[in-house]
Amino acid sequence: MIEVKNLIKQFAGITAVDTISFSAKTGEIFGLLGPNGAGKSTAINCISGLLKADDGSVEINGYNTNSDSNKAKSSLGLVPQELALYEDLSAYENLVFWGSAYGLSGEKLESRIQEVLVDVGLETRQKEPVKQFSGGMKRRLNFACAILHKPAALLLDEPTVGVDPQSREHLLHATLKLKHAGTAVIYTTHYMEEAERLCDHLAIMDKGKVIAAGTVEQLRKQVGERDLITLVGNYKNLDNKQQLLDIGAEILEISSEEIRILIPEASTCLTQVLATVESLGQVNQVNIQQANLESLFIKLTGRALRDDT
Amino acid sequence: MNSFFSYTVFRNTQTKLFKEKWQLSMWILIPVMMAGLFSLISGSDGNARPVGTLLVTDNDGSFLSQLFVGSFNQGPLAEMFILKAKTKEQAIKIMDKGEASVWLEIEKDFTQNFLDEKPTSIKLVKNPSQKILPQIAETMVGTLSDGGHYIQLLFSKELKQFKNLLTGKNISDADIALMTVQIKHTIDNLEDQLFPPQIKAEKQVVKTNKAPSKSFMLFMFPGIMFMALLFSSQGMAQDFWKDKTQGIISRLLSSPVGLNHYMIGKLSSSAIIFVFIAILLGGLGLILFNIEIKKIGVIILWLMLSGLALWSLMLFLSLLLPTEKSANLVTQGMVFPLMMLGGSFFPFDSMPKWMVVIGEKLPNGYLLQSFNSWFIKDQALSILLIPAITALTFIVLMFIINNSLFAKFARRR
Ligand SMILES: Nc1ncnc2c1ncn2[C@@H]1O[C@H](COP(=O)(O)OP(=O)(O)OP(=O)(O)O)[C@@H](O)[C@H]1O
Ligand SMILES: [Mg+2]
Repeated sequence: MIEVKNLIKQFAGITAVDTISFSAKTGEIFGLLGPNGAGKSTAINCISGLLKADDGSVEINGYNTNSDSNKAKSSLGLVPQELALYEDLSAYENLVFWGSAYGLSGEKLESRIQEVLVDVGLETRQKEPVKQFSGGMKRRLNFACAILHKPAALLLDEPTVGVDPQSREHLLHATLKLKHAGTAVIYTTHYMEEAERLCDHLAIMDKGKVIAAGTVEQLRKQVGERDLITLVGNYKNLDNKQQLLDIGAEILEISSEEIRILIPEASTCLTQVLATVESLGQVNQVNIQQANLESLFIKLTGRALRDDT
Repeated sequence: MNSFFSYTVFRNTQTKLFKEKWQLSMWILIPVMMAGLFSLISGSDGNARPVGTLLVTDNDGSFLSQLFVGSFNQGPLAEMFILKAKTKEQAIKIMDKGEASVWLEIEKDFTQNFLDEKPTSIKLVKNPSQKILPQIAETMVGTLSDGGHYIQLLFSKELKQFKNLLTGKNISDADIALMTVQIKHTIDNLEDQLFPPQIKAEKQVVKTNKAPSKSFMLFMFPGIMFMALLFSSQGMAQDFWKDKTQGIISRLLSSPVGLNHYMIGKLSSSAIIFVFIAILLGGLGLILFNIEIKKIGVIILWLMLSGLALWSLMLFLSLLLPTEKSANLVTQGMVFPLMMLGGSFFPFDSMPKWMVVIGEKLPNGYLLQSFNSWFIKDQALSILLIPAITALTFIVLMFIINNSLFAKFARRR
C-alpha cells in the first residue's frame, strides 16, 4: 500500500508537483500518466526519498516516510527512470550490491538473485559486465535490482522507455506477476497502451497537477463512445469551424496545420467530415482512432501526450 | 547487515580499480618515471648525483663546533650530504658496515682549544669505496680548519677580547671601535700572511667491502612514494563522482542502508590501495636501495595514514564542487602544486627557504617531512608519533565532515 497525500515539490521558480494525492493498494497497479515534464519522476522521487518534498505526506506499507523512514524504505523498491548500475561490473555483482543495500546476504541473497534473474530473463548473462548489455537488458537488470528484497510496494518510473519489444514483454510480465503476488505498484509512463493494459487505477498528470483520475473505464467514459479523427493539412478559413460543430463534432484542437475532433461513429460520417473540413482548407492526411486515453488527454489539455504521436 | 553492504562497496571499488589497470599502473609508474628523469637531470654526466651520509660525533657540543658542522648543512653541500648525529660507538658500527661516506669526530675541547690558540683536531674517517663525496668532505674540513687557523692568527687580539666578552668581563665602546679598525687592517694584509693550519684534520680510512647504496634516488624515494599517494588519492576521491553519474548514489537514498556505510566501504578500499602501493614501492626500494626490511612495516603504515589524509582532503573538495568535471579539474590541478611544494619534486633540503615554509605546512609536505626525519635522517621512530596522531585526527574529522556533505552530494542533480 502506497498512500500519497497533498504532495508538493517546488524547484527554483516552478512547482513540479502541485498538491497531488493518490494511492496504490495491495495487489494493485496505479498508473501515473503524463507528458514530458509533467512531474511524474519528481513525484516518484519524493515518494522514494531521493528528493525531499516541500509538503504533504507519504506512507508506505503503513510507515510514514518521514517519521519511520527506515521501515518505509525497507518496504519499498525503486526502479528509477535513469539506470542506476555499475557499468563495469557484472549483472550478478550489481545484484549483490543492491541486495546488500536492503540487508540481504548469504544464501538468501544468492537464491533471490537467481529468482529475479529468471524473472527478467537474464539468467544466462549474469556474469557479463553490464556495459556489454543492450539498452533493454540494462532496463531489465535495473528492474531486477529493485525487487530482490520482495518489497511490499514498488515504484516503476518509465521502466520500458526505449526498450525492444522482447524486453518490454519481460518487464510487463514481471510487473503483473508482482501485482498478483500482492505488491502495490506505482507505474509511470507516457505509453498509453501500457497504461491501459496494466493499470487498475490511473491519474493523468500535467504541469504538476492531476487533471483526471479513475479506472481506465471511468476515464474512457469521459470521452464517451466516440472516435478521434486527426486531419493534417493546410487550413486557412478557420473561422468556418462552426460547420464542424454543426455536424456534431467536438473540436479538441484546431490550427492551420492540424484539426482533431471527436465524433460518434466516424465510419458513417467520414465523407461529411471531409467535405466540411475541405471548406476550411486542403486536407493531406486523415487518421481515425477509437477514443482512448490519448483523446482524453488531448481533450483536457489541448496537447498530445507524446510529442511523437 | 550493513557491514556486508560496506564490504560490497569495498569489493566493487576494488574490482573496478583492478579492471582499470592503466589508471592503477599510472599512479605508480608516473612517480617512478619522474624519479628516473630527475636523477638524470640532477646528475652532471647522466649519472645520479650522489648523496652521502655524513656522520658527526660532536664531543664538544659548543657553539663553534655546531657552526662547523652546520656548514655541511648549507648551500650546495646540503644537497650532497645527509647529516646524522651519532655517538662514537654508533658511528664506528655504521662505518664498519660501509653505510656512510664520512665520519667527523670533533674533540671535546674543540672550542676551548681554539680560543686558547692551542692546536685542536677533527677526526675525519673516510669510506674508501666512495671517491667523490669523502673528497668533498675532506676539502671542506680542510677549508674550515684553514679558516679557523687564519682567524686564530690574524685576530688573536680580538679573540682575546671576544673571550673576555664570553667570560663576562666588561668591554668599552672604544675597545669595540679599536677592534673593528684592527680587524679591517688585518684583513687588508691577509694575502701576505699565509700560514699553515693549526687545526689538524686527522685522516683515517676504514676498510669496507660493502658498497654503500645511498644515492640521489634514495633521497628522492619518499617524495616519489608521496607522489603516488597524491595521484591515487585524487583518482579514488573522483570515484565518488563516477558512481554518482552512474546513478548509484542517488538510488542508494531510496534504500534503508545509511550512506555512512558506503563511505566506510570507500575508505577501507582506499586504505587497501595505499597499502598495495606501499608494498610495491617499498619492495622496489628494498631491491634498489637496500632499505632495511624492518622499515617496511612502518613505511606501509605511514603511507596508508598519509594516503587516507590526502584522500580525505581530495574527497572534501570533490564533494563540494558542482560537477564531475570541475571536481576533476580542481583536484587534479591541486596535485601538481602539492607535489612541487610538498617535497616530491625537489627534496626540502634543496628548496628555497620560503618554499619550505609553505611546503611544510601542506598536508603532504608535513607528512613527508616527518617521514624523512625518521627514514632519511635516522631519528627515533617516536618522532612520527605526533604527526601520526595529527593525521589520524584529521582523517576522523574529515570523515565526519565528508559524511555530512555526502547526503547533499547524493541529492544534487
Ligand atoms: N532537480 C531539479 N531541479 C530543477 N528542476 C527540476 C528538477 N527535477 C525536475 N525538474 C523540473 O520539474 C519538472 C518535472 O520534471 P519531471 O522529471 O518530474 O517530469 P516527468 O513527468 O518525469 O517527465 P519525463 O516524462 O520526461 O520523465 C520539469 O520541468 C523539470 O525540468
Ligand atoms: Mg520522468
